Amino acid sequence: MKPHSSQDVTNVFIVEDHKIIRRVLGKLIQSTPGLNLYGEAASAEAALAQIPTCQPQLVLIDVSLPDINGIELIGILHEKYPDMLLLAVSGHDESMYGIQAINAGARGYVMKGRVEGTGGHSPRS
Amino acid sequence: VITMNEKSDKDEATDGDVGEEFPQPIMAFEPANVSQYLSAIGDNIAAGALSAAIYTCAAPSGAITFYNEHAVKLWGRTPELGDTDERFCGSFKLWRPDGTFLPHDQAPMAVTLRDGHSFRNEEVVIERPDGTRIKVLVNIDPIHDAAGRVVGALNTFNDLTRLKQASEAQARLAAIVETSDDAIVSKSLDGMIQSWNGSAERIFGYSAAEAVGQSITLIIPPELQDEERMILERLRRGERVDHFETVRVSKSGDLIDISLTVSPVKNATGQIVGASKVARDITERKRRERALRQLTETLEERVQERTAQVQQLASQLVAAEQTVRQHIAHLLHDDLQQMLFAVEMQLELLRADTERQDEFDEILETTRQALILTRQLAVELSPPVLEGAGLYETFTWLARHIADTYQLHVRVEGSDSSITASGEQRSLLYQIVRELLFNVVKHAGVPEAQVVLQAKEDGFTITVSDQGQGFDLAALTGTENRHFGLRSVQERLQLFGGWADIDSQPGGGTRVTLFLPEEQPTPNRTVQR
Repeated sequence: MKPHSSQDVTNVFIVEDHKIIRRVLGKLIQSTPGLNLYGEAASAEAALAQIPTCQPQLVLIDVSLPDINGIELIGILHEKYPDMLLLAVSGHDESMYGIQAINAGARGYVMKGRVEGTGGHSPRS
Repeated sequence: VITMNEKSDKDEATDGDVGEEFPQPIMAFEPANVSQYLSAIGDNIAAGALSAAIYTCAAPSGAITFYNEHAVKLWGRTPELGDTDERFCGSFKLWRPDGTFLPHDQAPMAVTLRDGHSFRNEEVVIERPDGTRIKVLVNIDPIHDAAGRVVGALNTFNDLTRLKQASEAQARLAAIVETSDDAIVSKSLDGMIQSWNGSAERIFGYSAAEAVGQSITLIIPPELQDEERMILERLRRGERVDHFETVRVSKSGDLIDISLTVSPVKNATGQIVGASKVARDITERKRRERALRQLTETLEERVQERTAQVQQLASQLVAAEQTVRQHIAHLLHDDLQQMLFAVEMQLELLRADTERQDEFDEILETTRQALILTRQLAVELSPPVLEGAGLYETFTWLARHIADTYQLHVRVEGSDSSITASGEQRSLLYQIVRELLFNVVKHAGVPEAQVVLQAKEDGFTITVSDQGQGFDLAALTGTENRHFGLRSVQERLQLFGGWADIDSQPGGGTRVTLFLPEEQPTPNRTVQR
């Protein structure tokens, strides 16, 4: 994943513990004009190690992570990088973690499986 | 005891007008001889006035100068005092034991008056005017004046048959007392032991020789000495002490459980002169009582232990069930759902590159359905809210879920009650309330139901009610699912020490009240407001 920065391209970082989801999300991002897959991590710890160096504009964060949970990670990142766009991604419906994610500093909540549905904000919005 | 009529003379004292209860001696005497008469009668009268017949005669005339009521009874007639025609004896006729006639002037009294001879237990037969004869034992002593001359004689005589009967009766009583299994003891009012039977010897270990003359406190343990004061106090008031259960101590120092009955003993004048104590050894009975009590306690302990074990098992079972549910839910959510999600996204990506978009849309739709189903299944198996939430939050979440899924509006009340429920209790109640709400969806035919939480003194209740069709509880048969479900609700709650009350009538709605006791604080305890 070679980062290349440009004014009209949004650099996206994925924090997702499921390999298959990570790969599909990556494909989706790469196939979407204006989005650039900038990096990915399988855990909050790995994410916190990489994000300071690559400084992406948008981070997709799975709420259910094995080490630090996604909501906490959102809180940590939001405090360090208030301008970074953070999006919570979850298999749970938004009623469960939506408010928590927004309160922690996320700009939106995406429900897996309803990318084009009514439940969440899409990465483009 | 003796009453003398100072003014009496031969004419006045002939009438034997005496009290029934206590015969007064009747006397006629010459004033000069008073002291001699009295000294001779002396102890004899004092000791025997109540039971023996007594009369005196003057010497040498043989005239009767004194007799008591007992003498009149035995003679069957009342003699004239001082009448010289009626000499030596007040009886109608006298007979010797061999049946030969005994003239009055040859009677023992006549002999004594003549030569000063004393008689001891001389047997004589008295014949009464009505012809009946009684055998008497006669004791006669002469009365001397200062110069040593015989001036009269005292005759003390008793009905031999009566004496025999009395002594037989006494022997019988003594035998009863002696052979009784109970300790029978008599004591004076100051607590001195006067008699002590065989069972008293056996039970308390002291022989009669050791015990008689000692204080009854001999067998009273030091800490119970006050009891004796209380018993004596009641005796003085003439009260009985009945079946008083207490403890006495034997010669060897063993404590003996006894049941004590103490009655006052009165003399012939009704005066309380002592007490009889009957003590029954109830050590064995007490031992059996204690054994029985212990057995009962052990049984109760066992039952409590088993109940606690069963409740613990039930709790563990619910916890285990919950663990399995959570595990399956995680599998569904974290693995299956992610895979389906990945499939969905990949299909979306591929769809843009294909011309067979309609077919892709169909596959996509099927995948999304599978995704939704998996998510619902995961949530129903293990609602995320159960982990760490309170009862009110749990039911609120359940209400929303039921509203979304089954279009049943559930009102939840009781957010302000302070109820403590353990994780297992919450899990159990969640499953039960969910089943009850499903029943409303399936059977009640109304779009609304209510769940009310209430804190109680030793636990809390949850009432699930609807205004729907209701049913006849008695008419539900054992094999019907719904009946089975309700019974299982009751059984599951009972395992947790609670209960369920089901109230339903056809057309009158259904109300199910669930009760669970507040759990003892455990590390799992969750406090909710």
